[in-house]
Order: sequence, then C-alpha cells, then structure tokens
Amino acid sequence: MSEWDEIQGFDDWRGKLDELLSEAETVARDEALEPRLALNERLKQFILRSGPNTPDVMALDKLAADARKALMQDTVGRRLEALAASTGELLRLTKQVQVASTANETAAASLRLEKSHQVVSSLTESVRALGELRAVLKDGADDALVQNLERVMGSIQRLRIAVEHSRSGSGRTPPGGGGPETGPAAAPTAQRKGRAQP
Amino acid sequence: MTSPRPKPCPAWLLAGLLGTSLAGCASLPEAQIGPFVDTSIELHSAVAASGSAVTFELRQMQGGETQAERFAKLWPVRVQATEALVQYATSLKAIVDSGQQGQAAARGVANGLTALSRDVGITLPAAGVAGVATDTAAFVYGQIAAVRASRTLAEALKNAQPVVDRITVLMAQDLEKAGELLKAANADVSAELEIARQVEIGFRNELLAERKGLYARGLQGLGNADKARLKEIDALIASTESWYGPLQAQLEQIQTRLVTGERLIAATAQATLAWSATHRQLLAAVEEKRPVNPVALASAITEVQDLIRRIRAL
Repeated sequence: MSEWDEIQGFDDWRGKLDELLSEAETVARDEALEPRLALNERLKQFILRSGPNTPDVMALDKLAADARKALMQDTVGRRLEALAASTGELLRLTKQVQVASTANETAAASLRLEKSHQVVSSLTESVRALGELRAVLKDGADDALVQNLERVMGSIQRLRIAVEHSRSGSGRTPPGGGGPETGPAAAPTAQRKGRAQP
Repeated sequence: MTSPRPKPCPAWLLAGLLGTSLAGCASLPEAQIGPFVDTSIELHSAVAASGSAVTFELRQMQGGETQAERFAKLWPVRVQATEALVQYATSLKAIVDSGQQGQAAARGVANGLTALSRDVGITLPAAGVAGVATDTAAFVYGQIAAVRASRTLAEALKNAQPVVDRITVLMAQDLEKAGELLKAANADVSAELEIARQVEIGFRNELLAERKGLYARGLQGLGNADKARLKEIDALIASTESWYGPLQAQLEQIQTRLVTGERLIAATAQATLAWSATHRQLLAAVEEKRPVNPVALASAITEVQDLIRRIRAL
C-alpha cells in the first residue's frame, strides 16, 4: 500500500501537499542530493495521482509543480556554484602542473645534450664560414668578400644565440662548465629552480 | 700470443662506474611510464566526454539552457586540468626516455666535435682509437644520464605529488558534482515529460484501478454488466497506447542516458584516483629503486663486457 492509496477528496490532497511542501523546506536547507530526488519524485506522483481534475485540485497540482521545479533548479544551481567555487584553485593547480611539465621537458632536453649539440653545430658552422672567408680574403672578388662577411656574421650571430640560449635556457651554468649537461647532480638543481613549489 | 695491456684509466673508470650505473638504470620505470601516459590521455578524453553528457542533459531541462551554458563554461577548466596532466605525464616519459638515450646523445655530440676538429685542423687519433674513445665516453655518459634521469624523475615526482594529490581530489569532487547534475537534470526531464501527460496518465490510471477492482472480484463475482464494462475498459486502455507507448519509449531513453552517463562519470572518477595512485607508485618505485628492469641490466652488462674487451685490444 502506497502513501497515495488512502487519499480521497480535495481536503486530503491539500493536506498531502502541505506535508510535501513542509518537507521541501527541510530538504532545501541541505545539500544532499538523494532527499531532493526523492521529494522530486513524490511531488511528481502527487501531480499525476491527485484527482479529480477540478480547478481546485489543478491549483494544488500547480503549486506542487512549481515547488518541484524550484527544488530541482536549486539542486542544479548549488552544484554549479560548487563547481565555480573550485575553479580558481583548479586553474592555479593546472598552472603549477604546466610549470612542472616545462621544467621536466627542460631537464629531459638537458639529458639529451640538446644544447651541446646546438653549440657544437653552430661552432662548426662558424669555423667553416671563417675558413671560406680566409680563402676569399686572399684572392676573391669584392662581391664574394661581402657575401662571405655576411655569412660569417650570420653564423657568429647564431653561435652567440646558441651559447646564450645554452646559458639562459638552463638558467644555471654555461655548457661544458660543470652545468646541467655535465654531472648527475645538476638536473635536480635545475628542477628545483625551474618549478613552482606546490 | 700476448694480449695487449689494458689501459688502466678507462678500465678503472668503467669498473668504478659499473656499480652506480646499474643502480641508476634500475630505478627508471620505463615499463610503467608508457601506460601512465596512456592513462592520462584516456582520463582527458573521459573528463571531456563526462562534461558533454552533463551539458546535454542540462539542455534537455525546461529552462535549463542558462544552466547548461554556465556548466559549459565551467567544465573546460577541468578538461584543461587533465590536458596539463597529459603534458606532465609526457614530460616524465621524456625524462625516462632521455635517460635511456644518453649514449646516443653523447655519440651525437662526439660526432659533432669530430667534424669540428677536422674543420679547425686538429689531428685526430687513428679511427680505431677515436672510435673506442667515443664509445667509452658515450657509454659513460649513458650511465650518467640514467642516474641523472633517475634523480631528476624522483625529484619531479616528489615535487609534483602534493599538486597531483590536490588536483585529483578536486577533480574527483567535481566529477561527483557533475554526476549529481546529471541525475538532477535527468530526473527533472523525466518528471516534466510525465507531468506534460498528467491528464492522460490520470485517465489511464483510473482505468487501470477500475480493472484491478473488477479482477479482484474474480470471474464468478462478475455479472454481465461488469464483463461488458471490463471489455470497455480494455478497449479504452488499448486506446491510450497511442501516446503511452511513445511516452514509455522516451522515458526509457532518458533512463538509458542516465545509466550510461553515470557509468562514464564513475569510471572517470575511478580513473582519476587510479592516475593519482599510479603517480605515487612511480615515486615509490623510483625512490626505492624498484622494480628492476632485467633487460636493461643485461644489456648494460653485455655492453660493459664488450667495451672492456675492446679496450684491452688497443
């Protein structure tokens, strides 16, 4: 036997609605989902089972429908508020994870000797350019001299960038000078400096 | 035949390095890090899909468009957070991979230096000697890289653990809220649908109740008029099928959406916690230098033996 079986006539239905609305007030004070869903279901059953469909009973249904809708809107709204409340902290933590990832990638690149590769490669290029310049200075035409000077300038510029990047990228020491690519203890130090502390 | 005298320096160096280098190799969790990255990618997809399910359900609510929009603006922060976790896991893998590729990296620099030496006119030693020197240096750096990678990884994991703990707790809480939003929106959609058929459902319920009453009297208790009424009731109930059948189908569809969405969100929350637990296990594995990868160890030992043999042959 359900809670609806004994209800007969307008007064009974009005009494039942009073009971449900009173419970709605109590339930609405709490965040818990299940009591809210249970009351949503009971208010729905009230609307579906109440009868006969006279204007008075239909008015009770309207009250029940409004209460049900308000309860569910409030349920949704509170959860959205909770999500909004945690958003700021989540953004901050996300940024920390991103900083940590960047530091890890830098450390990994250091382990792969990427900066040493770059410096050696740029140095080789500069040396070759200077060799060619020397040959042109001996017996080349003016145009060739100008072109070679430009090449030398360009390659030296790239070398400078590679060396500076090697220093500033690791942020610690120059390449080959006991920096992060030369000893086991260097990378953790780089990690400590590069990563924001949680 | 007399074997050439081993050059003491490289041999001592290798012998000295052997103990520390193998310990270093053993603490890199190469077998676990790949699945960890895969889990992170799966987690990211699952969080995005969970958000889509909730947004869809909120949009089905009458007057739910504003709330759906609000949710659709809030949830991407969670998706971004898991994107960051994927990037983080990938960066950990990069450390492990770099630790394993130390020899190749050193060999690359050595080759570059050889080319440079030639360009500046430095006389290089004989090819055999230079080759062994390069191989030795590459092996030594390979071991150093493994130790450094292990230490870097341990520190990276340790530093990130508090952030990982907090972010996964928040994600689990937010997924719980998302699950509740899904349930609430789903219940509302279902209720609205039935309430829209309030009059028809009331009519059908009256017929069902009357039929039940007649059935309760038993066949012997029914007169001819009752039997005629029963036929009439059956016909009327059958006539309600035109809307009742489709209504039930819609309600079942809504229920299926709920079940599917709840499973997805629960699995995502579980994956979040599993991800966090794996992070902690990785840290423990690196700190406690376990588990040892026997393949990496065997390979390192074989290489040491080969290098020692070549050094003696010089």
